Amino acid sequence: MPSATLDKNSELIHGLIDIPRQEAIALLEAGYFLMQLGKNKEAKDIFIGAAALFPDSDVPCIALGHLYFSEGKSELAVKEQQRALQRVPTSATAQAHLGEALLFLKKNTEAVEALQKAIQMDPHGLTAKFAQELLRANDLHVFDK
Amino acid sequence: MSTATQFASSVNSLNLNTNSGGAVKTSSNVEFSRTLKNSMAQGASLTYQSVAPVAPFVPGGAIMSAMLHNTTATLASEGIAPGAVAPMPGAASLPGASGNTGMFQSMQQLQENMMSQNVYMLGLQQGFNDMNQKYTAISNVLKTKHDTEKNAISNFR
Repeated sequence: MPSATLDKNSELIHGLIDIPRQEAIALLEAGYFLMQLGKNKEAKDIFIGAAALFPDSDVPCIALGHLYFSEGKSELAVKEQQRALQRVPTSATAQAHLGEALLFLKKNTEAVEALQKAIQMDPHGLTAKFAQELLRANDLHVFDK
Repeated sequence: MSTATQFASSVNSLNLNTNSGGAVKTSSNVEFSRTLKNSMAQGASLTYQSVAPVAPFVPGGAIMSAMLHNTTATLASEGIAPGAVAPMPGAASLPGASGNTGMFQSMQQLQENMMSQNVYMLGLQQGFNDMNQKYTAISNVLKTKHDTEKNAISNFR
């Protein structure tokens, strides 16, 4: 279980310091927004800061892995997704993103295993859909070059 | 001339007319026979002209074309006046009659060209279908990835 738990009464997320949940979400969304604008350095600073601020949450690590992946650094992306899984082993999102990064590293067998595991973790959620679409694209040899 | 004399003269003329109308006439009906033959020959000739160009491409067309050719030839030889039967253009294009002519060859070449074009277009269509499938797959991956991350942030605990 993540230690960055939600205090339902005060809507606080407990990490190194307590932060209102909406502000934590805004912080991560700002990181994604900067990444979309191409300001990867600023986005990276935000995600690294958020990962340090919430040491038991998987979401900042997933976001940092996404950033590395968008820069073409698939190996760093794999490491970040693995770190997210160390924090929250039941994170289907981290598992699916790990499979995605492995696909781009041409590690097809491991990637397919990771994606199938992600589907098992959250069979009816959005993550399973994402993993299924990745598997379908892999079957069509979209990632082959 | 009195009335009685006029009546007698009319009766005489009637008798004369009756006699001439009752004479037995024999007719050989040669004109009707000739007209019928000419009509049949023209019909067969027209049918042959219509069938001959497409005969090589229709199953059994060659047989029918040859049969019509024989019919027109027979009718022409049985006393039909010269010129009554229309000339048969393309008669030499009959398969086996006098070899392939230019028309037959050009149609065959056209058919071959169409076949090669069809094969080429099928290949292109297959390629476009593959590309479409891949683009759809990528689009779905990107969309679901966005949804997943958005969901992860909104459920941040």
